[in-house]
Amino acid sequence: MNEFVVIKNLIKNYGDFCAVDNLSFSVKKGEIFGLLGPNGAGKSTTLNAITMLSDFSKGEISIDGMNIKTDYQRIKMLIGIVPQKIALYDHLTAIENVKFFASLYGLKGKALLLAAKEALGFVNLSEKSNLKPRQMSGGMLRRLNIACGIAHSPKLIIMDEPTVGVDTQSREHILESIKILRSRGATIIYTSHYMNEVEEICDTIAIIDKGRLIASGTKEELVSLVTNLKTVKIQTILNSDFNKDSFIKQMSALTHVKHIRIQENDVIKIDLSLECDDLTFIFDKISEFGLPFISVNSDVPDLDTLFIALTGKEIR
Amino acid sequence: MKDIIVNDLKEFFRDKSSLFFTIFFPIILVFILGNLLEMWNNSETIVGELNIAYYVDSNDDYKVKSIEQFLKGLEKDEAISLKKLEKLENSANQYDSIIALSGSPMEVTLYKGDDDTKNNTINAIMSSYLELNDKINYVMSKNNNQIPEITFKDEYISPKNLGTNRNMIDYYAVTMTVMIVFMTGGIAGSESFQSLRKNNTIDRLIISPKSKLSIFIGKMIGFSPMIFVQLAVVMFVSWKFLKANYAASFLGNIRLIMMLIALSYALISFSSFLGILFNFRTQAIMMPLMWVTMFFGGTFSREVYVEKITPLMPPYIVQKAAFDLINFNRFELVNKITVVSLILFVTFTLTGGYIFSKRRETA
Ligand SMILES: Nc1ncnc2c1ncn2[C@@H]1O[C@H](COP(=O)(O)OP(=O)(O)OP(=O)(O)O)[C@@H](O)[C@H]1O
Ligand SMILES: [Mg+2]
Repeated sequence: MNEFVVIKNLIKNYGDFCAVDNLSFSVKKGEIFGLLGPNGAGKSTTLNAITMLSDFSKGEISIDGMNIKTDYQRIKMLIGIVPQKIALYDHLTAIENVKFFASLYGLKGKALLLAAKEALGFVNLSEKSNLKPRQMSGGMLRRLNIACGIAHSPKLIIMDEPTVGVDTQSREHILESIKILRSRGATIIYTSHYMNEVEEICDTIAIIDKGRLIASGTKEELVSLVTNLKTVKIQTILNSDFNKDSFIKQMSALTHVKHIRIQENDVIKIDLSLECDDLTFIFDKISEFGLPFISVNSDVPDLDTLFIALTGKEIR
Repeated sequence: MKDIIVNDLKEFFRDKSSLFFTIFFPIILVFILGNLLEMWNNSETIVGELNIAYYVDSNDDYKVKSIEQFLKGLEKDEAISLKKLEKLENSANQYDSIIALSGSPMEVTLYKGDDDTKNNTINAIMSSYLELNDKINYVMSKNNNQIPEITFKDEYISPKNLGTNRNMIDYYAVTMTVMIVFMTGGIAGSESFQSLRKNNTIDRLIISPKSKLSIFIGKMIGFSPMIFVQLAVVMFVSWKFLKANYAASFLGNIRLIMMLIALSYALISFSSFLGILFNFRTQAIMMPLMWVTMFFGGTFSREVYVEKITPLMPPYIVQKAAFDLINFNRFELVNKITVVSLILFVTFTLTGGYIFSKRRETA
């Protein structure tokens, strides 16, 4: 596969502050590329450089073989962006918003209407096409925000945390749509702080922190970097009076426990040092909190584990 | 470009509050100010009846005769009553003024009452007499035999209207119109770009391949309904309901409106230019700027006139142009302002579009 986006030694300074520090990576044509990093890592700054929304201090970016500093007019036609901050006109209905932004890319008349309808269908908003933004929920706005970025069928779609505030069902729908976009030949750069999303859809993942690339590769390649930990996955049922903070605090205090996190579907994941072979003290602690054991599995470390191991902090 | 224009038109017509302001702000302004003015207008200075007395204690018969004649002549005016006093009594309350003719050669002493308006009027009457007297004396001294016989026949003085009767309402109809143009024109542009920043859509515009100049021009055109609606409303309302007069001729009114439209575009392109040049709320600059120039330009009160400052204020110049046209049918200043406005409009639109095309991040 050839490389569609190539970023070489990108540096972006804000005054004395270096938001992106000598970052290099490349995105292959037709893949979903995940950009992972904690708050302030420089993800949006990098994307802004690629979309030419902001200038950069040093480095080179090329898209589809063209340099963005010289061929920007042609490159702009290729790009569709789903910005982190929702960007919609309040006075326009959903479909008018989509049509307006698609029209900026030269679509007209019937083709424009078709493209807008299709994009709305893509994000499951066909029935809401005549609502105005203030009549829509937060999740619907996110989806409309996506539709506005993809209606003109861009070859490169840049999505900056497109699923923030979207419920699980809609998120699944969005992720499926993104895969469909890939199958139609689009290249997608995707940032998110939902680790499982990135794991689920991204072909290649780059982890950045403080503007620097700390690891990149496929999910399997990345996880294989973590060799000194093992992970236990416990399926339980959390009730409403479960005290999460106190639970995490007490569990983390146990020997061998490197990290603990609770996932959405009531799964507790615990990273342990390799030499730990007796888990009874962990089960005892969990019982103290009155949590049932639905299932207990040992698991390979996941991206979360890698992330903490590499950066020393949780992704968010 | 069509899409940009349509988008802005939709924004204007769908945003109830902006539509409300465009239409009702001028109406409210006109009515509140107009009614206040009506009250002031009615209290226009009225002299009322003049109660004059005179007293003679002089042997200078010739001059006394002459002045008595003159004073009696005044009595033809129903508003003036004249009484000859036998002695100079202290009767300040009975008369508005007492004229004492005393000594030889005769001297005139004017005893004034406490109504300034009446005092000034009598003063004016007496000075005009003395002036006339001087002239006659001069002619007599030069040419003793040819005392000119000066007679005024009543029919020489026939009231004739100076044209449209101008009053306070007319003054304020013009200044209110100018105010609307400056306020909305001066702010609308920056407001518009500010709202693009607020809803983040400016970023989507910047990264799009669409020419930024065409986006900028499209926005300028999109302002048109606002300009036309607002001007039409304020002019119609003050003409229809306050009976304010604009220009006397149809052509004059067309020229006046053309100037105001050109001016509106110039102001909007300027405020848009600022709005794209700076990332902060440029209304914060424009608002005070507009209010201050309007204040010193005499827009709020014709009493305000500061030498060396007022004549330089754009609202003042525009008002002056409007008055020139309305009162004296003079077009020079109106023409000048129209042309300058159009030049400014083109300049700011092109530079604004250029800056927009160079504009990168907005964060
Ligand atoms: N215009 C700016 N001026 C100064 N500093 C900035 C500016 N924009 C971003 N930064 C800084 O650059 C760093 C990277 O910001 P960026 O928005 O790229 O982070 P991010 O990885 O997208 O974070 P998040 O996950 O919160 O969106 C941050 O420390 C931020 O404060
Ligand atoms: Mg970001």
